[in-house]
Amino acid sequence: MTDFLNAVWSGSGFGSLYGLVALGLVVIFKSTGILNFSGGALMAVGGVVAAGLGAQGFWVAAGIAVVAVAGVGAVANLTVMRPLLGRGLFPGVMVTIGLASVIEGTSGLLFGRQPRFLPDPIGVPTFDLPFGTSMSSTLAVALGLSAAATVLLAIAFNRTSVGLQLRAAAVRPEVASMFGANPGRIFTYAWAVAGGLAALAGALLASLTVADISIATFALRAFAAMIVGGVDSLGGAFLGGILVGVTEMLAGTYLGDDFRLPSTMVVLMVFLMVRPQGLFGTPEVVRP
Amino acid sequence: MTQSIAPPHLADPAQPRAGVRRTGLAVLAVAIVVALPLVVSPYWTTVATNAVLAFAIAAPLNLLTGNAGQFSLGNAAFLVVGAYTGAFVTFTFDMELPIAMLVAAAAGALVGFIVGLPSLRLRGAYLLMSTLAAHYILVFAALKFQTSQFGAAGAIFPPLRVAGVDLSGDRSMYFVIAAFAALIGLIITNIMRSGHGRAIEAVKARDVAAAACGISVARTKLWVWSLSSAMIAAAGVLQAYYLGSASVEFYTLNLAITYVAMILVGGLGSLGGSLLGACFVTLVPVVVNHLSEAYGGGGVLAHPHELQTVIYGLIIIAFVLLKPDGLIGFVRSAARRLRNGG
Repeated sequence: MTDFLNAVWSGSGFGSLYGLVALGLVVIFKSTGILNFSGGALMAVGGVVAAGLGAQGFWVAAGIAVVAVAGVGAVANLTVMRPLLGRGLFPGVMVTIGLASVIEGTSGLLFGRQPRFLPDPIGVPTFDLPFGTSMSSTLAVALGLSAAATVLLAIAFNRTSVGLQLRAAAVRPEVASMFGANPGRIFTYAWAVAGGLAALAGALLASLTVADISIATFALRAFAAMIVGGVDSLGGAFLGGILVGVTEMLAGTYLGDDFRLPSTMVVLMVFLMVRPQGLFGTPEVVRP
Repeated sequence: MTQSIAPPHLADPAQPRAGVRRTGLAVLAVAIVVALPLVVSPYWTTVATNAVLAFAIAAPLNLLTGNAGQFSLGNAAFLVVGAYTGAFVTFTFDMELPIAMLVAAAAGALVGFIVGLPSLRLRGAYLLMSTLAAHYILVFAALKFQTSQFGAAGAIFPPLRVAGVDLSGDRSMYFVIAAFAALIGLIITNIMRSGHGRAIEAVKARDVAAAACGISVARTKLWVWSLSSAMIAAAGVLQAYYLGSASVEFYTLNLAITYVAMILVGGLGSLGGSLLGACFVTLVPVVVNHLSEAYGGGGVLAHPHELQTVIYGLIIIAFVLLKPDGLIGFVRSAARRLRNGG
């Protein structure tokens, strides 16, 4: 029971990090239709930047990293992503893969590849929970921040003018621009939000373990979170992340550590086969 | 919607001598490939071997992704399936390379069939995600197989010998791999000229219309998944012999992406494009290392690995945005200019 609950607590904490990256993937996919393979690189560079500012404490360092990587996302959209609109899956995936490579190499040139540390966000190391279990305070903060980010984004999408413009631009960019929306600017916001969310996940991960640019592969689970939740659902990305994280930690506890990543991929495959629209997504309508 | 009816690779009736010219080009390419290691230094023979091997893996992937429109990140997994099937057959039954490659191709076809099954239900981003999941699941299975069969370090391959002849030298290895690559090229050329090839193109262009023309979309997709995976798995055996060992750490998602980058840079759906892309992407790190050595360690050149990573990413981005038809596009437009000029 203790093992099980501990795996659930740490799984939901790590899962909320996948959820943060997946939220960024969903925002981009929902608005521009691009499947973003650079989420992991954005997360890793966020962790590296935050850890480089570790002397300032967690919150200042994470804040600066979020703003900086949001800027990277915005610049990426303005330079290389915008010409890709409407060109289909393959070009978008390949450019984001190229972007991830550029980010990784540039981070290596600027900051080196040595692992860096970041202090914990709050003073207490762990929280005690029932049945003799406990949860790392950083994971609890991650869970809280990621839930808050999901709620804020959902409000921004559904209750603000920019959110309305974004949803309109996602369906029909030309028609949306006729009614005064500026799809180009809206998509830049989407990329900035995705960059900021990924950087927040990176900073939290840097505080949990260590940060170097190779933690990018950690974010592969975000794809599983995105599909499990439903590619166009924000709340789905968050809950999908938790489901993937808990599965991973349970597999790690009961089957062995090397089963962690493969178990998330099995969850991804099962959802693709049984329910490709995910838990909360809209089923894709294919018009031949 | 205006679309040209005939795909560009089909013979144009205005050029009755296109076939002759094509044969001439093929003969020229073979001559270059054969003469190369006799002219250049051992170092460049190694580079050429890498490029030819990359072609043998990129070309079947291009058949799947470029011609059939099935975007896959599963090719590194097919390589490991091939390498470990080959290793198992070689070590357990003491078989020669050709037998090991045939068995590996059969295993690759079976696994490719299974990995291709989702393509009957899924498309686009969902299908790509299924190949990503398949990659990690297969590599994990390979890890378990490696631990039980070969130990933690992976499979160590002996020097290549076929029928008692030692083929492990640099030059002979190059000729073995070049012969295999030529066979792959020949197979793919013949497929694309056959009814199967036209069925593949039809399924990619419009699956519903293809079905209305009497093409079984499901059978065509599974057939091309199996075939391309079989060829990649067979190449995996040669690659493992060439590298001397096979271990799961080598078969990463980034390796899979490298071959996708090759067909993107060379030109999707073109065999010549696969060759150009394989050479180009193989040469990038070589050139960066040379520059780094020649202009010794100042500034960014002090970190050739990071620089390679940046340049590799920039190349991918540049080709998607500026030259979506790839290097073969330059060749095609040059050939067109030559024809019209003279």
